[in-house]
Amino acid sequence: LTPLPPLVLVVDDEPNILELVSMRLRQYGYDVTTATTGTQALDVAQATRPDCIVVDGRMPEMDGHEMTQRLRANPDLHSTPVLMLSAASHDGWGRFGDDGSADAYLRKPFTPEELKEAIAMLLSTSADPNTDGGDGREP
Amino acid sequence: MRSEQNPSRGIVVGSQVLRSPERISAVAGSLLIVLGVLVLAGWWLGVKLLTQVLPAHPTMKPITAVAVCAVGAAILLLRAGRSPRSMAAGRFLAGAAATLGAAVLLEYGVGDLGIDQLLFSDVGTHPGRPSPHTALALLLVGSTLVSLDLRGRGRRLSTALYATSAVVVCAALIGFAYRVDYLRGTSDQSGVAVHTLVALLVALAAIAALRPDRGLVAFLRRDDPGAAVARRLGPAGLAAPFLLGLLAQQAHDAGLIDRAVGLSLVTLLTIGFLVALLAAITPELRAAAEERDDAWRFVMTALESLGEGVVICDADGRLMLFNRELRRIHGLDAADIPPEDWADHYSVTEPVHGQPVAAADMPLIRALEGEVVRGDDLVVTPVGGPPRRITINADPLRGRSGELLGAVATVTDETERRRIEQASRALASIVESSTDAIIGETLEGTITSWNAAAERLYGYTAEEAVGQSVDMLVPAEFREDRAAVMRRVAGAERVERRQTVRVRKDGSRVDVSLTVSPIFDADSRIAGASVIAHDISERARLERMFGQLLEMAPDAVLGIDEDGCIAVANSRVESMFGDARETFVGESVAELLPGLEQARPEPAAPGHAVAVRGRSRDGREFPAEVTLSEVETDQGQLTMAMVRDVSERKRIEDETERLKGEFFGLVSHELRTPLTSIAGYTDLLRDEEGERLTEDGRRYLAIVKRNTERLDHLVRDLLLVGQVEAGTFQIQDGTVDAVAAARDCVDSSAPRAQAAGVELDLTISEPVPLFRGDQERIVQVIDNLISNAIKFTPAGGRVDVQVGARDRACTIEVADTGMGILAADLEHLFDRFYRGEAATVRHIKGVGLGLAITKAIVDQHEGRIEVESEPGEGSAFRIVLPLRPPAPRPRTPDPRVRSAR
Repeated sequence: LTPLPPLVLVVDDEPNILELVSMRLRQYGYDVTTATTGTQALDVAQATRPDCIVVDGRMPEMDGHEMTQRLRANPDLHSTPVLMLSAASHDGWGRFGDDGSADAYLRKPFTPEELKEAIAMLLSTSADPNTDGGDGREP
Repeated sequence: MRSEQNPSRGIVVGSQVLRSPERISAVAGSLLIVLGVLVLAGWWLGVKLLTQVLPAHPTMKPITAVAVCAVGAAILLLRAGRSPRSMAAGRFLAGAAATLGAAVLLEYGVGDLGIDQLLFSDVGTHPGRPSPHTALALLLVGSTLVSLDLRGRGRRLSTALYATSAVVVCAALIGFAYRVDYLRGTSDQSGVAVHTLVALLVALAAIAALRPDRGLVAFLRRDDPGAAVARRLGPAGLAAPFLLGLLAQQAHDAGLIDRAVGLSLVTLLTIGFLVALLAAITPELRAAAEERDDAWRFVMTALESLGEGVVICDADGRLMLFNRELRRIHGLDAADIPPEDWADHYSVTEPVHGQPVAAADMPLIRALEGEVVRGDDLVVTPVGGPPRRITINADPLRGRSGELLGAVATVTDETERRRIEQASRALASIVESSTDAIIGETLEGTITSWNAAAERLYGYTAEEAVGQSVDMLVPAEFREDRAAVMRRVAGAERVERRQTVRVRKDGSRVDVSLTVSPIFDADSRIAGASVIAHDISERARLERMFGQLLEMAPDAVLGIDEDGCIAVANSRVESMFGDARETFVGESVAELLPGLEQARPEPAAPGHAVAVRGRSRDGREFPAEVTLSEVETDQGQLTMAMVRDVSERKRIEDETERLKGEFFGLVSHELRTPLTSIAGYTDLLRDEEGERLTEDGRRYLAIVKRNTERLDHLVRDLLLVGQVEAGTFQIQDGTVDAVAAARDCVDSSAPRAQAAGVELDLTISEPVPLFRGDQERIVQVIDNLISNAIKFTPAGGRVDVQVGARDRACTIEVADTGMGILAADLEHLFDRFYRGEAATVRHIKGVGLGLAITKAIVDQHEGRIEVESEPGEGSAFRIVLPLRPPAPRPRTPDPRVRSAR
């Protein structure tokens, strides 16, 4: 029985990005599910228990940061690795910057290879039984 | 006469009689008349006692008696002070007596002229003719009297006649005493009668006394030792030989001694007598000399104590005598200095031009020429001493008879007086030229002096003001204030800068600042007050204006005194600090602006604002900006603090900052999200549909992709510059491998270099250890420099990248053979958005951010960037980064994969 491919939840209010990321991840052999808002993403995550979540940092209503924080507060989901798509430079600009809540950040614009590497790295660290999902996070 | 002027004791020995010579002549004249009349009466009555006196002696002849009467009357009439007619009558009678004498003498020569028996025919055994001796004596005495008041040669004649008479009479006297007949004329003619002899002696004495101011009497009357000796020895010296001779004659007559022994005895006794007389007079002479010495000492003591210098020189100009003051002025120490040596002791110059005074013009020398010098102004400089300004008087010194004995000069040292005078004149001119009114007044308030500025200030002239009460200047309501000031001044206190009001002559008022000082007299008593009034009406006006300005100021203004206490506060202070401004005055400024003292720039920087916290009365704190400036005032130095409440500005600034952040975030997101789509779909197109595209289609896709990357770079640079500007730019604290970074950059730039026809080479001159820093940023820096170098180097040129380490620093140099940088551009090279002239002219791409970012990154690494450039030759950028040891904990692999671009 071949193991099921890892499930990646992609969250973005921008349909083009959502499609682009989903398409690339499927090319790389992942199962992909999507959400267009943070609220929806949390519901989907609760329901599907994805192996990894790719979320846009900036979204209307609940943005990626808030969603990540809520995720961390959820005992069922708190260890799910999160890759945040960020428009900010790495040291941040106020509330739009990287707040460290995500496990990794991918700065826009990114190349398909960068996306591939980042997901692979997140899944490999979270799969290590000796580490939990927070290990790859920057302090 | 001298004796009358100088009735000193001792010297006037035996002058009792000489004091009243008129009385002598009056008594003697009368005696002669009485004697003559008695003799005539004797002849008439036949009384031998009267005509002959002693038996066997010659008689006084009637003619002689008449002549004696005439001489006596003449003496009475010729006394000093008688009328001219009396004088004339006297001379007539004297002439008559002389004529009788002359006539008798004539008879002896030519025979009887009938004069002898003119009065009495029978005159006994002898004819009535007087002896020739008597006749001669009468002629001489009469002539003396006639010539008594002659002048010039006549006077000498008179003196000669008198002397001759005296000789004749004395000869007769000696002859009588020693029985020398030919001396008394008793050989064959009748001799000189005893009383004739007496009469002649009396007449001689009377004549001498007639004119006491000259001749013998004058000499005897003199107040000197010579006259004293003469007065003492004269009568005794004359009388002694006569009396002793007479005595010896009597002894011889009595047969007691022979003639020779008598003569010897007379001589011996006379000598002894004279010696005794001299011995008797010696103490008196000594006393006189001592008295003279004393007098001299008194005079010298007086001279010594004199405040003026006195100097006496002899006729040759030798300085013989001078007093203490003169020694001081001229620096003299010994007397007897001849004129040619004067210059060895002092020099004399005239005061105006300082020219030396010629010897002949020296006051003493001029006085020796007979000139009386008065008030010459000169400067005397003693050798080795300070010059002295002197006033000198000089007089010739003359002896009794007017002969020049020397000269005397009195010298007044004017140096000090002139100095004081000069100082006081200078002071007066200062006072007069002062722009402040300066008034002198007594403690009672009477104006004693008034300068020109006082006239200008108050309108009264000095003539109008001096002597008036100062109350005319003081408005009624300020009288008590003035009285208080004057009470303090009377207590020797000085009152400074008292601001008050005075009233002018025209009734207008003027604001003045007074400084009142006590004036002390020479005995240090307060004699009055000097009042210096400074017109402050203009200042008062300015102060009012200043006050208004202060009120209008938008800032709270605090005047802070030297103790840090608030002295002045404007109305804005009330609203800012929440209390009435009066309540702040006197309070420490630290209550309102804690920390101001610490924040105060040292030294004071006028106009420089310092940020402090303000604290209002209710405890509210607010950010404040304070500008400080120093102001000199009457109360000392005030620090004016303009306080501005910057809460609002701070709020706006913070908001701006927040908005800016938001803006950058927005821009970055809004640009990058579509960029992500463009790039992503371009990749997707290339990957999925690439093979179906034509060659051109794939080229177009590559162009889209390349420009997407450029846009991304631009966004990245813009964001970075924004961070640098906001001060939020920071590097990642990691480890830098400079060699690897350089190699990556060179490798990735190689295609571009090749395309531009530029040779790009990397040289590693020394191995470079890893150091602390941000690898990605260092790559960005090297990228920027290489990219610039390629851009500005024409085809065929070269770009050399060299990496090395020395002096504990990593050096990365990028040198090109490009167009170089103009000197004018060099200083702006690292300004953002600055583009050199060459870049603009040659249309080289770029927005001018690269070097600004490069510098920001290098600064963050605490490194430096150096530029060398020669226009037309090329440029070299050298980055020197300190080799700080890498952070101890190696970083976990970066999951953000950014460096992979």
